[in-house]
Parts: sequence; structure tokens; C-alpha cells
Amino acid sequence: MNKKAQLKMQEMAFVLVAIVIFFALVIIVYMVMRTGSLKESAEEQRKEEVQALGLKLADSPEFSWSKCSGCIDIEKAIALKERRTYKEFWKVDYLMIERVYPNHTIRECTRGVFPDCNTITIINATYYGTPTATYVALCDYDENGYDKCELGRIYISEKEVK
Amino acid sequence: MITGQKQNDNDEGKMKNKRGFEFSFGWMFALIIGAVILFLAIYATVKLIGTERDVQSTEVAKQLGILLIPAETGFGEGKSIPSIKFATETRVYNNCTLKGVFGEQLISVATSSSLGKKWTAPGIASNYPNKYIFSSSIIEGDEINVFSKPFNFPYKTGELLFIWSNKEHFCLINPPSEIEKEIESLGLKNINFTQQITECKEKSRKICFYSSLPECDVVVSSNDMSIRWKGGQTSFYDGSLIYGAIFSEPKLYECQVQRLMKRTSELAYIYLGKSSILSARAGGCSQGLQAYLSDYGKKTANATSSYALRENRFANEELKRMNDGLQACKLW
Repeated sequence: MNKKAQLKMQEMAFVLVAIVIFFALVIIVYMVMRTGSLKESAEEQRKEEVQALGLKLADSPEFSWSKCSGCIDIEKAIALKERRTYKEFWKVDYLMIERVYPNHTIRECTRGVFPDCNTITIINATYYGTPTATYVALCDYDENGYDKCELGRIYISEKEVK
Repeated sequence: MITGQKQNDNDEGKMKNKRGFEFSFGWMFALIIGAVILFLAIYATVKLIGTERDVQSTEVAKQLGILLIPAETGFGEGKSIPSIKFATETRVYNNCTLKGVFGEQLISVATSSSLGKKWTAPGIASNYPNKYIFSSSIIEGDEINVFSKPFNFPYKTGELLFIWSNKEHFCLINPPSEIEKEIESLGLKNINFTQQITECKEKSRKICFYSSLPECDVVVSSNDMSIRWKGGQTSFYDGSLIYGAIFSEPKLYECQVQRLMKRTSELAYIYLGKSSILSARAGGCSQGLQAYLSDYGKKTANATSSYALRENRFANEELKRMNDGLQACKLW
């Protein structure tokens, strides 16, 4: 084979390699962009879901106070905190109820210290994002058996999209 | 006239032209590589379109789950939300598993396309441990109707969602007056009431309430609170689950009832916890229910079919009676 032909073949081989590298780069850039936008869209949907969940949670049987819509039963919430089975039920990394007004002693609620406490942490994963807060009414019975409601806040942090 | 010299020149020209058809290495190489690149490009495009359709279907399934949330919130006995409209003809796959403590509701979607196959396999399913959807296993159409009702056994256990498409029609033969009134007041679409099965539309699903004609797709008996499906299977219902007989299929119905019983069991333990907190604070209030709740929690956890509704009917009524009897500190 003469030198000119060899040179042409080498030229072709280089062009081929360049084409393959070019397409590979295009595919990688596309995949990175697509994965990024998919993750973003999944996170957005998760956020939307969590915001809607804030409203739904107060009406779910595990929290609801039977006499008003959107009110949370504090005693049920304390009983729920003790049930490990609910860890994956709402698909959230953090779920906490805070008694806002009137003021209470700043400490976690348990059967032993209730009603002298201000937070009920139901789900608390090791790592979680910034929680979203929604105001709710927290209700229970007073010493005489009458209904009593106070102002509270429910904090939810959605599960991270991996 | 052609001279001998000209003849020779023409022959040489022809020889030269023949060399023009020769395929050099460069041409062959370019053609083969060009064909490979074109093939790869077409293959990648087809694959990409398929993946994009899967992504779109998965997103629609997720959005559908979010859109159903308003139907599950708020007080009230039954509510319907405005119809959900899809951009194209869509198939919603309703699936149910008993995986985990509460089982799972699975929703997946396949969208139709005018390019390639009309229907592809559904996208990735969204799973919800806290939703209970009663419908046919595949809901097909570009619009779906949603209606919800709480299920109480004896306390509220969950919100039941009933879904059907604009293509599905239901014919209720002699339904109880309260069901007829409720459906009419909510303005639910594609549901007709008749006295005779012959008056039903040909392709409608026929639900018979006081007769068991062979043409009936489902026979609901309020005497023993049973549902007899066309295949011969029997299920049982309680309260709002009667609507499950109208909109659902036997396999899905049984799975959802078992999931509801699992949640009933967990809720029994939550009410037991509430009762202990209350009784410690308010001089033994509701203490009498604690042994019943503990027993009820154990029994309902072992449900393996809708027969559990029948088995636990007495315990359910007893708990309801006891709770209603509490003066100051009702548990629910």
C-alpha cells in the first residue's frame, strides 16, 4: 500500500474517532440535562404533594378531631407517635406538631408529661430538608370533659428525591 | 462519416468513463459509516421517544395522585370533585398490593400516541399506602370522574375513592333509595337507574340489588350484606363499601378491603392509646373500651378476605354503642 493511501486511512480513522467522541459528548450533555430536569420536576411534584398533604393530614383518621374539619386531636397524635408502623405511611422525612398558643413548657410531649409540653414529633429521619409549616387547630378535652382547642402548627418535610 | 482515428479516440473515452464508476476506499468507507450513523440516530430517536413516553406516563400518574387529594379531605358523607381531563386518551391502571403494614395502592398510566404503537406499557407506578381506589383495573378515556366517601368501622378508617371514565356506563337495577338520592344529589355522570334490566344500555355494567338475573354483572344483597360477582365469587360489604360493588372488580375489592382492615387494626391501637391518656387525666374516662379495642385490633389485623367485615360486625357495633354511650369523653 502506498503512503498516500495509508495517510487517507489514518485521516478517516481520526474523523471516525472524532465523530464518536462528538456523539458521546452530545448524549452525555443531554442525559445530564434531562436527569437534572427530571429530578427538579420530581422534587416540585413532591413539594406540591406535601403542601396538599398538610391539609389532608388534619382530616386523616389518625389525626382528626371528630367534631371539626381540619382540627387535630392532640391525644391521638401522642398515641400515634408511639406507633412505629406509621413511619412510611405518609412518605415524609419529618412530621412534627407544635402547640403555638397558649404557651406551654418547651419540651417533647409524652404520655407522662402531657399536657405540660409543646411538641409532638411523630416522624424524625436522620436527614431531612427544610420543613413546610401549616397552621392548624389542636383539640382535646379539658379537665371537665369539655372540648378545648388551641393554635398549633404542623411541620412536614418531604422525602428527598434520590 | 467516422474516420479510423476518431474511432480510436471514442474507444479511449469509453475506457476513461468506466473508471468513473469505480468505488474508491473513501467512498465505501463513507457509505458504510454513514449508514451506521443513520441507523444509530434512528434507533436512538425511537428509544428516546419511548423513554419520553414512559417519563410522561409516570408524571401523569404522580399528578393524578396529587389531584385526588382534594377528594380525600374535608368533612361530609360523600363528595365529588370536578372531572379530571387528560390531554390525550389515557389508560389508568389501578392495582393494589398487601405489601407492608398497610398494603399499597398503585397507580400507573399509559398515554396513547398517534406515533408508533397506540398504547405502550404503563409507566412506573406511584404507590400510596393511604389511598383506596375502587374502579375497574384499567380505566380508559380522556376524562375520569371521581367521587369519595368515608368508610367507618366503627370509627373513620379511610376515604374511599370511586373512579370511572367517560366511556364507562353503569346501570343500577332497583337500588336502595338512599343510594339513588346520593348519586343524584352529587350529579354523578354515566349512572342510570332502572326497574328492569332490559332498560339498561347494552354495554353498561349491570348492578342488580333485589334480583339475581343471569344478565347481572354484580348482585348486591342487603339482607346478608353480600356481593356476588359475575364470575361466581362472593364478597361482603359494610357501609360505603356498597359503592365498591358498583365500581370495582372482585380482586381489587378484596385487596382494598383487606388493606382497610389492616388500617382499622392500627387505628384501634391509636384509640387505645388515646383512651389510656384520657383515662389517666379524667378519672378513668373511656376505660371500659380498652379491652374491646385491644381485642378488635388483634382480630381485624388477621383479616384475609372481606369475610372479616362479617366476622367483626358484632364487635364493631358493640364498640360504636359503647363510644356513643360515653357522656364526656367520646373517643371518636
